[in-house]
Amino acid sequence: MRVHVVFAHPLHDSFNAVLHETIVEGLRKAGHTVDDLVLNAEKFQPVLTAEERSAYHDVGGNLVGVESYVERLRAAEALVISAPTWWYGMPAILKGYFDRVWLPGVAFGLQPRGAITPLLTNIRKYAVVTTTGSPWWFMRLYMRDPGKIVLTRGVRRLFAPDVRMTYLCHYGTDDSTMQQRQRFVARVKSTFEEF
Amino acid sequence: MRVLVIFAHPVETSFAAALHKTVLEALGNRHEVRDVDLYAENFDPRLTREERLMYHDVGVNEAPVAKYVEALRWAEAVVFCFPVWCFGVPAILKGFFDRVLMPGVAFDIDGALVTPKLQNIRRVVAVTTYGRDLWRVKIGVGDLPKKQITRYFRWFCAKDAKVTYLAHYHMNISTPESRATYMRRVTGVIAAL
Repeated sequence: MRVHVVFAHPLHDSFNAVLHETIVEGLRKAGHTVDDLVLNAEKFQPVLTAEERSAYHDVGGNLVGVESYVERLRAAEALVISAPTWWYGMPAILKGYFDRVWLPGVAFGLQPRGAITPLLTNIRKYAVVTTTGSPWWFMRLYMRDPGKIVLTRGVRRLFAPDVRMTYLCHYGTDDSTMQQRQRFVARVKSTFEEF
Repeated sequence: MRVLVIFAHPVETSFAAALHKTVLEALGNRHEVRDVDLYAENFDPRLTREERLMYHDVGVNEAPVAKYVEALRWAEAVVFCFPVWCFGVPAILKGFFDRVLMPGVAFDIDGALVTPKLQNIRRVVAVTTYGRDLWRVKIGVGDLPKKQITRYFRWFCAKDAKVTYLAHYHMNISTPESRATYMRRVTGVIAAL
């Protein structure tokens, strides 16, 4: 399978970088073709510009400047997002990747009454690997895990209707132990070796 | 009151820009106003390697964004003005959260104990627009931007801080009337600050 991995974290020696490496290694071991996009290494510019915003609804014309990212997304049969959860959502660099690349005519079509048709039906498998600083009970019970809902319900709807999804989250990273982190890495490893 | 306005939209002729203008006009000269237009300032929303490394180093961590930290400590009220794109705030505003609202500025961490630090802020208003309808935003995708402002940002502020979240949903099929009605609501709330 052709798997597009999108990774965001500014440190190449962070826990998230370890998770990213584990994902890519696991996928290769499983025989998949990996197209790895490391947003920070590319110095991806996440700010949707005035020109881009003005052309946003111009399907086709809105691709200027992001063609290569769109091509990679369209060529994918599976997508893996690897990034920490900051402020209950994705880091700005990843948010900007969605703002600028997941456009009308690319990720979704807009119907006259405002309904949305999914356009990334080439994606049949989808996984998210993330970490949160806060403990799970705070994230789930108080905040209702809004970052998770965006990725699992909002983004997922744009893929094939029978897409298979995996969401792996290491909660409470602010004070998790080495042992807990190693257990999570092992879980990520086995998930992607069998992806 | 000392009011800090934080605005995020790149297009001058947009509805968001019109809302921003309405906010400033409604504030008038009854308040001390500081207007931060993130696009006009070319704010870079990417938390850098250096910033991430010193993120928990209270005092030192605020140096790269000192200007914004100072504005937040100065403010008694904050007005966020932005559109919702792809289920969230624009990347440029998300980066403002990531880079500016950090330990020592928004909160202090002492072991498991986290205490809010922006208790000078007593009033928070958000002025925003969504492409989709309320039902889909709330039930469908959990309304992340609303939670970030009404539950999370609010938590850093004074204990009795009042938050008003003003949103025009379903912009994709909005009408001149629906936008005018919303504009009046925004004017009303801001003028009453």
